[in-house]
Amino acid sequence: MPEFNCCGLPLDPVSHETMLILAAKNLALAEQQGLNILTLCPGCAGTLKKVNKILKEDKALKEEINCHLKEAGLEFKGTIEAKHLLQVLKEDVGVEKIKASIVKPLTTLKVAEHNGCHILRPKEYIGFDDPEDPQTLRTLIEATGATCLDYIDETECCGAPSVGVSDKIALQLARDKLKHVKMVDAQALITVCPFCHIMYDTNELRIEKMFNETYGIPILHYPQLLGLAMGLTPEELAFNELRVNASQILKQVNEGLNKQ
Amino acid sequence: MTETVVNITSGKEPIRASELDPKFKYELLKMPGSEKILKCFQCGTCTSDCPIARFSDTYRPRTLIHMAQLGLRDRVLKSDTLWLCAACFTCTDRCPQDVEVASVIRVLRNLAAESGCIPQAFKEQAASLLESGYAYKIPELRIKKRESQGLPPLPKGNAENVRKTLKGVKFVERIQKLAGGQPNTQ
Repeated sequence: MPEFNCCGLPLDPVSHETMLILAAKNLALAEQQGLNILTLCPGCAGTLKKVNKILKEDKALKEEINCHLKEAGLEFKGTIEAKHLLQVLKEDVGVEKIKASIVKPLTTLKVAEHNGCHILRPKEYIGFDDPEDPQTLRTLIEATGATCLDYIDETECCGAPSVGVSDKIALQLARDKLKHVKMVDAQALITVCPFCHIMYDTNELRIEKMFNETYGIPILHYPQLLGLAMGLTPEELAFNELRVNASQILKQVNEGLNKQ
Repeated sequence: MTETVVNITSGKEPIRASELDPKFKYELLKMPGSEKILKCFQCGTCTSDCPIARFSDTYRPRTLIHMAQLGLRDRVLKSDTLWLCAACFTCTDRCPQDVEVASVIRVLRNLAAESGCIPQAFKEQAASLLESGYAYKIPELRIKKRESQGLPPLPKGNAENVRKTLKGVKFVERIQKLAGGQPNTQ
């Protein structure tokens, strides 16, 4: 969809109206094609879901927003839905199909999951998983053969949205997560949100220097983990783009397979 | 370490009766998102769950709601801590009174923005949005890397249509004025 724009979430704090219009515009564009939206960002999915629901329920607001969309020849009708990749994998693809596609089970890997915030909250708009005890990502990680460890404060925010306002606080939040993940000796932290991924991957080395600590925990995006298990190469999965070196994991996965 | 917010107010200055505007809460009751602000009975669940409050000495969602309920309009709208919220929605999910805490904070931020209090980061995102249709401009280096990895090019979007749909939005007009020049009449 070449004409998709920003979903509007980053602008919500300064202008709710802007967010409503931007999100409605994306929904209207997809409706024109009669297609549902799959997003790679949970923030976007959450925003599109929220605006979809709000405009479907409030006719006056819908008309107000449609006055704006008319300027670009668009109209929001509320006929399609938006989902994040994780929800699509769970509901539209299904865990069984995913398990069946695994050729390199990652049985030697012990990883920690990080759902992030917008894939789960607010419950009222997202609803496909329990924010207090999320299961979807855990199930999908286990489908690859890897073990998903428990750790303190699994549902803690990564802090990324606050970076522009106070990077000091945001970095402390990220550090808190890394500390808890290290405590259980997880070999990687698995993310589903690109913003979370960037937050941890680009800041881990900085945090190590700043607080004089060592973590050495690679941050893998779930598709990278799944891709490994499906037999894709690390090059195809952009492992060399990761700032925190993940070669230890690759070595271990290959060794684990050689033993089988 | 750069702290991009200057003068984080602690809100510890004594309150004078003349600062209280009892009508403020009625304003908030009428705005989408803060309709339930009076249901808050200051239990503090939001603040104990808040990831930002954990690492900030001054950010407390409960206090912001309380200030709004009491009518400390200027103090809450001008406070820098208002902008620390990460919009993680933990408070909203756990509030026993269904106050929609994150939405109330969003309303307060929107009001602050209306009176000109807009942190630099948001000004930049808005400017980028109006120019390209996206809040964040992906650096050239990244785009070249995509090409070298054999990935398809990113869509160009349609910034003109974005500007068309945002015509008449007061915030957008303010940003365009700040960028210097007349509001975009396309």
